[in-house]
Amino acid sequence: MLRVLIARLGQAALVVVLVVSSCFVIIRLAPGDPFVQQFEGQDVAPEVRERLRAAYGYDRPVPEQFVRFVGSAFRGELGTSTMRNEDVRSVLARTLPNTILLMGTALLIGLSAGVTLGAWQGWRPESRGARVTDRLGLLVLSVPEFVLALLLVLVPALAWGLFPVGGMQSVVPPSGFAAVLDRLHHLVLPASALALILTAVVARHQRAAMRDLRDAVFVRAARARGVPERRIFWRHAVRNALVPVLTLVGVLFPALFGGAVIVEKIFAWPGMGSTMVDAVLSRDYHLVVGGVLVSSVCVVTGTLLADLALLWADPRQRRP
Amino acid sequence: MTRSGLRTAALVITAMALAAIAAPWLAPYAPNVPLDPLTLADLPPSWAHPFGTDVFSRDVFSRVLAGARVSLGIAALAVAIALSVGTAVGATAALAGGFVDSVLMRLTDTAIAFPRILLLILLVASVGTPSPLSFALLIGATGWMTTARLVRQETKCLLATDHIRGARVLGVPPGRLLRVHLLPGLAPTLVAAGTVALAAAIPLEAALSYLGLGVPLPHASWGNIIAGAEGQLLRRWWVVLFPTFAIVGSVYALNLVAERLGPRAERGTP
Repeated sequence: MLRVLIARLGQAALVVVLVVSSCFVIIRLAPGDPFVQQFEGQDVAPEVRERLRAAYGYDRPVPEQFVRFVGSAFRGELGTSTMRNEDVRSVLARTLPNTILLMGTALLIGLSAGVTLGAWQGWRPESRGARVTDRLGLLVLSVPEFVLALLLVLVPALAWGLFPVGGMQSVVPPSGFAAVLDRLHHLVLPASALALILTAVVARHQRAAMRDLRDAVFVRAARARGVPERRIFWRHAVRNALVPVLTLVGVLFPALFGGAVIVEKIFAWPGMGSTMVDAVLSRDYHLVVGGVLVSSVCVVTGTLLADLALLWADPRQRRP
Repeated sequence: MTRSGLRTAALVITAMALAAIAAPWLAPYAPNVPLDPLTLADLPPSWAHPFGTDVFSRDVFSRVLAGARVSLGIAALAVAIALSVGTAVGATAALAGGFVDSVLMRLTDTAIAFPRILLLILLVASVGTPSPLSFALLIGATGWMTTARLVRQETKCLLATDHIRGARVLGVPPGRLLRVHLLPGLAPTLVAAGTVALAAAIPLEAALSYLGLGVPLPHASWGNIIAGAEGQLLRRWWVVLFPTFAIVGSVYALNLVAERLGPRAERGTP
């Protein structure tokens, strides 16, 4: 058990180190630099740009910049964002909770809806309802995140006017309890976009797991003992079918974050994903690398937590 | 799934591919040229323009056809690259075993652990404005991991079969072993993995082109046609809807086929 844990932790650390160092180099390969993008079309003297570049340390050779970055990262410093003119840590501290709120809500809804739907489909695979919802699930999986998000903007928000088209709160945010409702009102559509896809993915796997368990020996034994069907369904089948789904959540985590990037961008949700896309476009080196560091740590932690849950749920996995 | 469902899916995929190939001859108007910005801009669907016209007065139907060529071409090329790299990595890992195997597999685990779309946004930025060819290369370069895992697994199974063991005993060199003895056995896995990869590559291309990072304007791709409705989604619904049908239709058909190809493919899907 301990050996498995140490191996997983080592793997996770390796992922973070490799991802951050390759992104550090990749973003510096991009044409232009923070000050070319920032002052595009403006008449800024080349000396001013040079001085700014020197102030941020961008005039040094890339290997030296990297060594400096590693040093300051260990001191907990990530530099200054050129795009926001603000400490990278404070940009991330402001945007990360918003992404966690969005992804957390989607994960909660998607998992519970997916598990329930998939369990029901797998238990009665021949029923009309199961077949129809199965096709619908595959259809949802065939819609790219950005299209799903756009359709949610188009119909419930623009055509029906039920929800705001974007942002995280009203222009003039209300106070007190109304502020919470206002936030929830803005959360509904972006969270649904992610949750819908998640539901479809989870349901497919839960359904497959349930179908295998339907005729399992212990299920038939329980039936023979006269255990009520309800209890067999929840206690014997659904519980066991959860194991493959937990594995799936670990695998899904990177994709979920990728989906959040797109959904945040379309709903103007002020989270990490949309901030990072803007940072890449404006060549904000420090913010890109800091964001990649934090998001890879988050993704790896999410995967690790799912792994741990799996180890807890399925003792067979504890052997190295 | 019913047989007729599979047949419809195969029909849709074939029709899309044919439309992509024949796009220049099928399109009623030039896809990238404004027809008449004064009188023909922003028209809803009509007999003359079945999918309407966009804000620059270009015919959306012609653009969706031209977009099929670009979007499906990029996706197909990207998948070809991903399959080649994935097969090379997976087969090498399985054949070499030991240290090489674990290094290659750790590398695969690492590449798979980071959000693909974010990696692609970074990579695309690093080349500035990508040409369709380099764009396809980058999509392929970020999509080889599931194939590598599947191929490694399948190769290990094949290596345990009698005819491959026989070939190894007879001293067949690794290159020939792979080409003549392993690849035919890997073919079903590769077909399944390729279908799944294609169903993943089409939305990726569309998403990046929608964000303005992929196929550069004025070239049409399904993604950047949709972006043309920016800010006026409701009023220009036809600009969103028709490319969406094209994307969802082709991906749905591919998903149906992938599902039929069975557990081989399902292991690869997220």
